[in-house]
Amino acid sequence: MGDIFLGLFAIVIGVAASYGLYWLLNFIISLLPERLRKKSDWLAFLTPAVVLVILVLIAPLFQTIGWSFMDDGAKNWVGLKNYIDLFTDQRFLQILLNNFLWVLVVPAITVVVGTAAAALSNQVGPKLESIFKSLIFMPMAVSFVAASTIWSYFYAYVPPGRPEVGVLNAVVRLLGFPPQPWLTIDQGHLNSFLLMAVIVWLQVGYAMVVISSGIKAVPEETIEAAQLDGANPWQIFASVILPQVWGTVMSVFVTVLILVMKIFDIVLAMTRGNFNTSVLAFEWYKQFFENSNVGPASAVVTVLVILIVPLMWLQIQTVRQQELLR
Amino acid sequence: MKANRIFWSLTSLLILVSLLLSACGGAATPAPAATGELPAGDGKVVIYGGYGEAQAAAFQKALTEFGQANGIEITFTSLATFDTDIKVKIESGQEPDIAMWPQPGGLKNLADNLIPLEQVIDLSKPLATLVPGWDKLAVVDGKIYGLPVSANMKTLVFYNPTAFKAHGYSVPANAAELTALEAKIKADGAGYPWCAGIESGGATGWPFTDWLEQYVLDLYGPDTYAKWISGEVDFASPEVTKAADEVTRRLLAEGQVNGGGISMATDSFQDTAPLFADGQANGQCFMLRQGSFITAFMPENVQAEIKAGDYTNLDVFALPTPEGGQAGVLGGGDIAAVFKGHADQDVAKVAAFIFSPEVLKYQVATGDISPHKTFDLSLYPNEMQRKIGQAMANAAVFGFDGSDQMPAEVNAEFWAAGTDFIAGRATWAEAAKRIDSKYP
Repeated sequence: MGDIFLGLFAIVIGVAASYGLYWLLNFIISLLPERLRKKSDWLAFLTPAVVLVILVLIAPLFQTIGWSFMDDGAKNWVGLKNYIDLFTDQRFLQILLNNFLWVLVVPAITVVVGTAAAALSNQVGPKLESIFKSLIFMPMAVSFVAASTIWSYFYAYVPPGRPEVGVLNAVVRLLGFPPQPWLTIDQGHLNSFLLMAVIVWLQVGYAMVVISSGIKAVPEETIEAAQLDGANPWQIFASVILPQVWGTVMSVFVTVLILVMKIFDIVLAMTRGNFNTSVLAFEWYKQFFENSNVGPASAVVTVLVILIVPLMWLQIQTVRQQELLR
Repeated sequence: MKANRIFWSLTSLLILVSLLLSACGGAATPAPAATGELPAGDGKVVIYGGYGEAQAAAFQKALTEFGQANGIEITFTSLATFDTDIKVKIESGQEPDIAMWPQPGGLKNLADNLIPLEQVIDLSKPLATLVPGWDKLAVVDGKIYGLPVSANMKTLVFYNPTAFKAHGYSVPANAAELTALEAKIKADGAGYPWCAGIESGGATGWPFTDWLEQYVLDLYGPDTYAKWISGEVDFASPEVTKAADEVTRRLLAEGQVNGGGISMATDSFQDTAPLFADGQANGQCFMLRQGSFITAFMPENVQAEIKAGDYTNLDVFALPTPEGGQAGVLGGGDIAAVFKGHADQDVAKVAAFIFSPEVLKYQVATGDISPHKTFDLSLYPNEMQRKIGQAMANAAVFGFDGSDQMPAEVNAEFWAAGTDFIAGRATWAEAAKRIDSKYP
């Protein structure tokens, strides 16, 4: 109970303090001579935000990059050793490959399935549409860890003769095949693909809702014109609707892409990185929290940052393009 | 007018700067006196640990009883993944007064955040009653930082006497008899000799490490065992490799475990049901080498039977020592330490209590064993546990779970590489190389 009051008190104080800060800054500016004031009023309102961003984002980023050149305890400089260790470690290269596979597969499938679901659900009438959409969207309400637990039961494997608990193996048995320890099979990185299914299941709803609203905003006249010209439904979708929602599709794609880059929870909850399923973010967690190796952990996360930055740039570009189109 | 403006500007700026400075400086608190009398307590003591539900409830019961008698409010909280979570708590300044590590290695890594126990309690009392060896687990720079609260024993094989009787099997007294029994079980088509799931979430692999430790301790004695833990004898050495061969012979040979190594890697260590299954087709297994705590994971009817002193469906024998070795007792436990800056008179009282034999009087019902020689054996809830408790109290060569004493990183890799070895994804040489590379 006391904690709640303390929390509320902190919120009230925080809001009041921020308000007071801006008021004070504004007051200081208003007291300056006219000429100076005009030049500096933007500064007053920008500074707190900039300071905050530097404090909680930029500074830790550089700190982490600095640590990545230091030893386990972040006490001595070791140069490029951490990076050399990483890129000469066969297991880290597998982790990079896993990440690459996640990035290659998940956003593409999510967007394709999401677009298909959006296009098709727009065709079935308002009542069925809302039912379908609710069903597909529902997994969005499930947290990653909860979803992983559900899917763990789906893939569960029990030794021969013991009561079956895995849904997938129950189906496999029904079809007359021997059950498989799915999450341990890394031939062709099968187990990584099985983990990807979880995030696709979670994110398709999001892709569908966003793309569906894009499709609904496509001007009716353009579709009618195509119909008059004798285009079939597929042609209408491919040549009329899709080009007009392309910006939306791309922004969904990039959002999912960045989400997938830093995927962590699913791996943690389902395999703990065992059986060659680890990814960058999980490797960082393992190195930092479980092994307390600050240097190597920072090197892992720096690699992740370097890989994510171009994607961020891509995302900003697509958002800008969308804004231009409007 | 102009001068007035500048005056106000400067004053406001001054206020702003002082506000910022005070906000930054707020965290600093006066350092407590390092020596002399402990400060008076605030009547509250917080303990974190990694206990399971039943253990936590029994521990809290003993704490509450002690707390009420002494006017201290003692709260025990179990963290889901203790080793990781406690670091997060420390980072965020939310460390408890006392914490209990399941692994001394983890405790020693964090010694900077802890204080030597001699500054909190009179050490002579617990040291007089503890089984030798327990006091050497959490020593940093010659000072004792942690002592055990509860213990378990791992040199145990659980079996189902009813199933043994039905097939005419008898308890093996030595390694040769054990091998003969395994062969007989397989030849009869009765089932599988061993139950041996090693899956345990983030700690998957630890039951395998126990097997290996047992054989290193048995085959080469406490000195080599200690050198192995400290890294002087590496995993790829002939000694450890021979112990791994012993494990391979017992567990990974054809027909020894239901489903082979891959099943072991995915099967939870808590899954004791196959011990009570019927016939090979249902995956029946006959022996389970595990810690004393495993009784808490037995089917409820079996637990009830044991409680009532009925051993028709579950009993225990000591794991036979491999030929040419000497019997060693292997075990584990939870080691408690006090955080720096948290030592006050209440914490000292509670610490003295949890390092005494009395703290376990309820908890032994959950399968825990006391690490004290003087623990009242009549408090153990049943004959089986009394047997185990007595073996602990009389232990001559007691080895604390080796992997739990290794650096956390080595331990984690021991689990992971060991799991790959069991699952048939790596040879012992490959797994050993991976683990050895984690030693600094």
